Amino acid sequence: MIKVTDLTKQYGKITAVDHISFEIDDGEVVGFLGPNGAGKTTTMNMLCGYISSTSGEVLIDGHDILKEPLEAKKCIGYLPEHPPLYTDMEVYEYLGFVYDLKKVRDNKKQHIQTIMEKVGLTDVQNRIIKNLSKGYQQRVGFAQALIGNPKVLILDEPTVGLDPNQIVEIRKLIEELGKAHTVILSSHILGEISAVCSKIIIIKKGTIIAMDETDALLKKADTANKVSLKVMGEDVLALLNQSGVVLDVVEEQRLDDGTQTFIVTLNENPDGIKLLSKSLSEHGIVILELQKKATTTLEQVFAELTAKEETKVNESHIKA
Amino acid sequence: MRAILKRDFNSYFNSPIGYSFVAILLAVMGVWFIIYNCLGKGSSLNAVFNNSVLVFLFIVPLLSVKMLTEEQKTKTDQILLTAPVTVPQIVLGKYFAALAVYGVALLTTLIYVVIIALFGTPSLGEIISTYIGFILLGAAFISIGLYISSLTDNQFLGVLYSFVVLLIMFLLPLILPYVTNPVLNAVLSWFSISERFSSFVSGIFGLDAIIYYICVCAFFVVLTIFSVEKRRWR
Repeated sequence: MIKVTDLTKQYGKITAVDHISFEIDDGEVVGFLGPNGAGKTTTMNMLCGYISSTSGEVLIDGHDILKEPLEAKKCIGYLPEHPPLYTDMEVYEYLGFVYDLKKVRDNKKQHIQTIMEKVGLTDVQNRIIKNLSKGYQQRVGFAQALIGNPKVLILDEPTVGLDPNQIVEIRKLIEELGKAHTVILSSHILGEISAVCSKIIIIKKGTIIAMDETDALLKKADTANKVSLKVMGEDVLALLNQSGVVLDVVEEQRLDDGTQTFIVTLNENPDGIKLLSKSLSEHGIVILELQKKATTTLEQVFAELTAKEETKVNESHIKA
Repeated sequence: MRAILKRDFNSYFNSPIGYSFVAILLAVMGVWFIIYNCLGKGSSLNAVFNNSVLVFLFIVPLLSVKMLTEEQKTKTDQILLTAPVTVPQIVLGKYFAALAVYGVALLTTLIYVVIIALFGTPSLGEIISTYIGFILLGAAFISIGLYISSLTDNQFLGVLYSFVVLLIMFLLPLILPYVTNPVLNAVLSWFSISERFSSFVSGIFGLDAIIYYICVCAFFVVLTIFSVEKRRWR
């Protein structure tokens, strides 16, 4: 449905997006993940034809966004980071304008009503947009993207600035939309993306550093095999290394009262934690804390992935 | 294009801008109408229109800001540029909407013609010719405002640029006699837009002047299209 080849954008000497390529199939929900300034918005703007690319190609449903802009744009519904709302218009009036602008051929009133129901705007349809709360304005932005039932939805940070309840609602909406549309959404919150997306593309400084199915990617950066351990006793390090379930140990802290903290990476053994605690207590070591490390934040995945990336680079430098 | 035209036109009259535009035009013409027609007891509107040309100095920047500057500032241009419409359609939609506002303003000035007709005998040919001239002149000035509005996303600068550029154009006829270089003189005289208007006021319906004004409009509309495209390529 979407094919991006060697897409590059330069602003003067700064390269915002650097030769990225990816493909998105029909009906996929793909997350674009990266810190601020990674090039997410620039990439999305190029996908939609708002800005042009310096080089490379974007094909939407087989249409080049620069060579056949009208055909390509017909397939896209775009919700930019700041919804492009004419705030002096009423909700229904605004959506009617978008309907005309996109040259949709349908029963106008019914089309707009259906979309307003879907995103929960029916009650405010006669209100002036500037008087609506941020959450409702975001919904108007969604409705605008949905007009004309485009095959592809591109959503740039759709939950930024919303309160927790609204975030849950919008997530539900995205899941719902994913059933009928190909969706690309960007975010810097991993939890959000892993909840709704089947595939994740992680970008940093304009390049793709990881791209995989969500599950596979989380596994790659998984710290589920890591435990943090706080103990009191002698020769713990040697004991850990002999236990047979430990791959790697990093000593974090050693306090005067005799407590030590370690980050332990366990091997594949499913009973790793059990065996570890058993062997420690058999040798008279007191376990004060034993906790699985959870992967929930982008920071960890990101640190993990970028660290790997950098080691690879270093290795290749040494080889060269 | 029609969708943009309709929305923009409504938006002028959903904000004070459309009304200010009409009010300023009516007020300025009203002053001259009182001076020449009421107090001076003349039946010709020529002097009123001729003296009112200066009003563009104030009303064009008003429209100009709304046309593209505001869109670029609030990023609403995103919806236009990612919709299945071309840049020329967007620019023309905006231009025609501004022209329509100008048209509405001109319609209200017909009240002066009606007043004259009630109390005297206006020369119909002269009035039609003057109106056509005024429409063309306004269209030319608005096209310049359109171009300027595409250059900046700062509303204050938008107003300032339009004002300064128009001011220079008004001053050009005063400078022209002192420019001796024939090439420079020809170039500058092409830009002294208000100059050719005077022939319409005297009832001369010159084809060359009409073509000239249409060329000016087309020139600046095309420049605007390039300017909007350039923004995307930067």
